[in-house]
Amino acid sequence: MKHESPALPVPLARAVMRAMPPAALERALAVVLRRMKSRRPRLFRNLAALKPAVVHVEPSDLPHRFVLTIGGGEARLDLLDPAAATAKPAALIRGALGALINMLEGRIDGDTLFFSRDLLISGDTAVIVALRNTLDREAINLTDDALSFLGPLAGPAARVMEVMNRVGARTRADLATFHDALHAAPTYAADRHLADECARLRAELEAVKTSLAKQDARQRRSGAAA
Amino acid sequence: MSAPVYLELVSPAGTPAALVAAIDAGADTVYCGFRDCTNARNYPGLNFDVDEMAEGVAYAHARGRKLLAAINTFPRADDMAPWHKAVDNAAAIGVDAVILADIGLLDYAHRRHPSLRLHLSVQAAASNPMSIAFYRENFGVRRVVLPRVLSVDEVADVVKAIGIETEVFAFGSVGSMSEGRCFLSSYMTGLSPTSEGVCAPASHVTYVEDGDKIVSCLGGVTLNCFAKGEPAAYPTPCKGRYVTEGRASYLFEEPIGLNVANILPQLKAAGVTALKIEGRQRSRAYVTQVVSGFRKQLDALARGETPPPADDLKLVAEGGRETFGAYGKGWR
Amino acid sequence: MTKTTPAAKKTKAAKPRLTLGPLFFHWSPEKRRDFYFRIADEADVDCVYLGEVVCSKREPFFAPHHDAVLERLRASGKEVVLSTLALVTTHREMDAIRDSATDDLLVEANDVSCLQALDGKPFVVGPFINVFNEGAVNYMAAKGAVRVVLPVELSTDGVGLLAGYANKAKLGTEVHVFGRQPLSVSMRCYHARARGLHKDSCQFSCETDPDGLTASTLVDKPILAINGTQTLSHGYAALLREIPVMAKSGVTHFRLSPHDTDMVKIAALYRRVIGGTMGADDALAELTNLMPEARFINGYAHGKEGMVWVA
Repeated sequence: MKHESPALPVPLARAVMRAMPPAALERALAVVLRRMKSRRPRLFRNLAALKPAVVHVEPSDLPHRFVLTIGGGEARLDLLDPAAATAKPAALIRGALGALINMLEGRIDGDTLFFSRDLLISGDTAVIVALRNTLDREAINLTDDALSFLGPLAGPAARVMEVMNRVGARTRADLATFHDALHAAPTYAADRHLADECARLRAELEAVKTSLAKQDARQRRSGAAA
Repeated sequence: MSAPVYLELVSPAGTPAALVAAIDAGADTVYCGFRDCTNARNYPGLNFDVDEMAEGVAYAHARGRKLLAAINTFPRADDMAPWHKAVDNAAAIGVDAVILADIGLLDYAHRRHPSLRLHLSVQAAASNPMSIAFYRENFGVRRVVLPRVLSVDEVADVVKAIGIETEVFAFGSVGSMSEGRCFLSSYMTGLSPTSEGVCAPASHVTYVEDGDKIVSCLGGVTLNCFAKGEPAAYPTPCKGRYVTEGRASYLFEEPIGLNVANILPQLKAAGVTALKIEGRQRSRAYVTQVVSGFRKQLDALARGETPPPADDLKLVAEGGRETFGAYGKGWR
Repeated sequence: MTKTTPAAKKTKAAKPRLTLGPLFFHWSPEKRRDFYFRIADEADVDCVYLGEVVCSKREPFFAPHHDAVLERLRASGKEVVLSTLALVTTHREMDAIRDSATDDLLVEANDVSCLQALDGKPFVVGPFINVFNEGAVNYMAAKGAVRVVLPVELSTDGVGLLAGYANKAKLGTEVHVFGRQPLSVSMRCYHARARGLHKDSCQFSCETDPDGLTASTLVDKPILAINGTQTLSHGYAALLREIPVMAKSGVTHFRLSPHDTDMVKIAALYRRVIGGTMGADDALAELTNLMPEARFINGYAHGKEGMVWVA
């Protein structure tokens, strides 16, 4: 049986993304996306070939908003700068981070989230449908993409993720549990074990940021050389 | 005709990833469409180009499974070429059957590709043995996908009378209109499900927040207004809320999905050949969930056991609720 | 511009004919009988379609009057065509289809089961069988069709193309030019559903709405009309300006769909427009006087949403 990377644990992702300062998150995003782009050129080609559109992604349990730009030859995800004047997006997707990640990784069906109202969409529905269908053509595993930029921390982080997945939402092939877990998600904060893990991760964040900056610089250098 | 020992499980696939998911989850047969108006799920980002379909055939055949190509819309006058090409391509890459609805196209496929297996799409609305006999005698149709309007008893009657295979809907979206003959969506959008393959095209759907409610519109027509926590349905005209005589209701159909898991023994006894899961527009997560759910049920049934209750599929059903549809009493 | 040569004049098609399609609604047997008597005596139409298309449960009511109506219509010199059911599932319905198929009247087939029963006998392809392209037109011609009533969803461009192919195959074509457009058929009865009744004990609740029951959106916009198991447009199709171009492209018959209004006057209007003795705008103005409450639509004819009016 082929090895499967652990699913990206939602509480961890949420904790990390909440804790990260916008500037660091912006850079982390850029690195993950570059990594995804090299691993999945077809996905990015398909996204870039869509009708040009800007989509706002609002994880309802995060302080951040994201701007997804697709079509017209490009595909990029940026952090929304609330201070900057931005054009009105063609469409907006809102849902808990867990719902968004699980949908992206193909573990939960977007229509199911829509029927249960866990996913709200507004604006140009055609843009959302095209985006959803294009993403669903690929087997995406965010853990692989996210871990790849942690460099030396990837190993320990993967172990943490496995632990968290055991403790947290045991979602694989168990939609019902996931669904309940999704709605119960805020109670994880009260889980001491998870809280400890999160605290440890926050402490490690500085190290991550250093690693990130190094990788970032390295990639920029190699990018410039190419 | 004695009841078959094995019920074939037919899964939708909107993308190559969903096709792999369906086969890995235990589908016997997968149906998919080309990336154009020749199939009834012509949504952006969905479906297969010819190479992807050929890869799908290879993936299925390597595992002893089958692949069907749905070419089930109605070509418009002077524009039959894309449909003819789709049939030719499907035949060339070795699909196990094509699913057709249009009489002109059935005639073409029957004459041009005499050895190609033809299935009659639900879009042809063949709801009785006489209609099915017409397609069998004139075009050599080998299997009919029965419209979602018959009760189990009526299905059994049809199976006995027609002498060809039957495929019935087992799970998914349920519409109460006679398929292939419903113009409600083009009435509101100008785009036709019958010819362009899009019912409630996303380009014409809008969701607008109104306080803590969401209002869905199709072509500017208000279809529904959902309060928080209220289940939602597809924004198709037949799932809208309308007011008659001062009372708002789901006049045509509730936000609800079809699930026959709990009447599988009856369907098997009725003699149907195959169970079809609806939803080429759904994700590979849905495909995995529903196909593995039904695989478990059918395997239990094949072993002579009572299938386990299949309550876990409710969440992926439209509106988060399930119905037997017409199978119970034929909507009487 | 080319001048019409005498030869071309000779082959120029006769004026298109005017027909009265099958009555979709459940009128009382007497109302229905009297309606057809008046049509026979007064209406200037060439052809009348009789028969129940929507719900087989309604059929027995009119049966006692069928022969008298048929005789009166024939005596008036009108062609009579027998329309059959659009959705057929029960043994009783299949028997009715077989009976119609062996009738001496020309039959309008509204379900493929009827084609099977006709077995080579000439027939009209009704609007509930999809004929969208030349492949289907040619196939129907080979099966013995004499004309095709085109789906309401088609634009005048699509109508023109199909009329051309039909002419080549020696088939007539008929287009619905007046009345609510049939949009779908179902096994489920929406009249019963709207009134909290079961279909099996529907109390023929659809009889209260001789032109259909209005279904409005949640913001009070009338959008559809319910007629038992059938759903129609709320607006009344009024294709008048479109008639000359369709006639030119070879359409042989124009269909009026019966409504609870003065169909004799409406037939007279359309006859004059077809004959070129009245302009479409004048006809529209008169139509509006006849039906002041009605909203008119023609979207499909212009390749747009069926529900709109294209001025």
